Amino acid sequence: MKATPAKKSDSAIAHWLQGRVVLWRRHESLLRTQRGRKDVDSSETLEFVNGYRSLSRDVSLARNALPNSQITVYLESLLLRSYDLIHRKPYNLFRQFIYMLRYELPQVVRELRGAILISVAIFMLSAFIGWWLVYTYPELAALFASPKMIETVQKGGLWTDDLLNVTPSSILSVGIMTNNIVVTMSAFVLGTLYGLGTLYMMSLNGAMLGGVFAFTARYNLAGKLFEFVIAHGIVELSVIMLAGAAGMKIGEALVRPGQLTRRDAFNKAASNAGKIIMVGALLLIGSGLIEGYVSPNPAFSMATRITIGVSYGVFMFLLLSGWIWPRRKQRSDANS
Amino acid sequence: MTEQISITSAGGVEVKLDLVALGGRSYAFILDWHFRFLAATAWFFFALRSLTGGFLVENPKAFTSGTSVFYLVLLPSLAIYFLYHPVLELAMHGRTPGKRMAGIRIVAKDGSSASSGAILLRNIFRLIDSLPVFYVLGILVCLFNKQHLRIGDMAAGTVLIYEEQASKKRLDLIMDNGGTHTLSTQQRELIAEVLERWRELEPDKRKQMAQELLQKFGQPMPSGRGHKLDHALHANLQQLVK
Repeated sequence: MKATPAKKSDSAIAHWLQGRVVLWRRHESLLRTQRGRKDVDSSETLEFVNGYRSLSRDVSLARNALPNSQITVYLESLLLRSYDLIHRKPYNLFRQFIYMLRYELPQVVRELRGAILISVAIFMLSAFIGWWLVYTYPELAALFASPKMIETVQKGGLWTDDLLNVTPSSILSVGIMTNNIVVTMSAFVLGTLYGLGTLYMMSLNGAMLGGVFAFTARYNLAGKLFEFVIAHGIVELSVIMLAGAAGMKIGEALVRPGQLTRRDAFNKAASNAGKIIMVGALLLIGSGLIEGYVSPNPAFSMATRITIGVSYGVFMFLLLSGWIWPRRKQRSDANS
Repeated sequence: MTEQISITSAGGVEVKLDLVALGGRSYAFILDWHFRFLAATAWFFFALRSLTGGFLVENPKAFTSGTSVFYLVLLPSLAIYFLYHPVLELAMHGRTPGKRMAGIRIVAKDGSSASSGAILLRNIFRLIDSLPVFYVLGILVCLFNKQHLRIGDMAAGTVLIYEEQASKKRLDLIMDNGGTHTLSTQQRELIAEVLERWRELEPDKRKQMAQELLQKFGQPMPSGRGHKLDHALHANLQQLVK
């Protein structure tokens, strides 16, 4: 009896499957050994890459011969997993981070120069307005300071005087750094509201700083407050201003996306400016430690505080400008 | 209709990836929320009991200002709760336990693995997605865009996709025959599917399906009742694809 064409084709498919299934199983096991290992045999890697190419052809054939089949679904899944492994960038967080610090961050800072200047100007202007308002109308200090803080200042002291008697330095540091990191990240992400959220955060923080200084100045305590702030404040305030610049860049991308779609412009601006935020968060850890251990401790003299504050500020500047690294030609790939 | 993105592999073969909508996202998030909440709470009480010998705190103010309690009890618990997503998404290449259970994963918008920077960035934007409470803003944005992205995904250039769970087990069921039997590939696939879903099917339904399949392929019908018959039908179907 003669086989029908359908039976003939089914037996051809079965024959093809029997020939290929061994290779797929081998490819599956190679996929497992290649993933996340550095000591794999180079011949196995080559075999895996060749297997990936032939798998592509098998997917094409399976789609024609066995549409909607579980074998086709399995092969597509195997192809996707292989694609992912082959196209995945080397996963070395430390090296990626160093590359970002060395090459990408200085470039982002250069791109954001204009936004940084505007951010600093807004912060300074808000601080001046806050100062003027509280100095002229002292009752407005209640907007920025709690009744307890106001009472302490009116008695001739600062709320920071007994800080270490209430909370240990280590706990104080963690609390401060967490708060500062959240404020910085908020100033950045609120740029999504077309930059208005960032503008509000910058103005509020600037006005608070100016207002608190004006209030303490009325009781001749501004110098003492400056002494408390100087060691940690240079970097802390700079990071907040940088976050403001990053947030404004996001806002600008949404208002003026240029040739890109709004979503692409937003993605590009956030990805670029986000690098500053990640480095800023790390710098704030240092600031938090200084604010917990140095700033409230009367054992540190004014000169020591200024030295610490300025040195940390210079370190931040060198880091952001890329001058901290020895000059070397930029590589095209972080992991090459 | 499910939105898709496509990747083009070597040889120009295009493979489509289904994007996850709000339901899949919420399911994974709720699972993850429970995991991190339970892990943080478990750590809190475990460390508290180890440190103080009990679960009751007599003076909460003195308790929270104690350095060892802060570093061993409070800080790790808060770290587990707040760093769960960024740390696990980095370590598990765009997955978390909840996402894995929901069968979803974060990838870049071109279908490749999301970079570590993108994963961190999408987590920073949780600050705005979670506004004003319970991710209301993120949910609204997700509802009103075609690719079902929250703001964090738009910022980081990431999407959530369904990971195809086509198992090697099923390939083995279909192909583990040595080429000796008479069933076609499609027929073997049908039986393999019934076998794979055996536990999910109602006992009466699977009994009926198995009997119909065995009859169709001219196989002997097992005798017996209840569990015995159920096991025998399963075994005969397995025999059929082997």
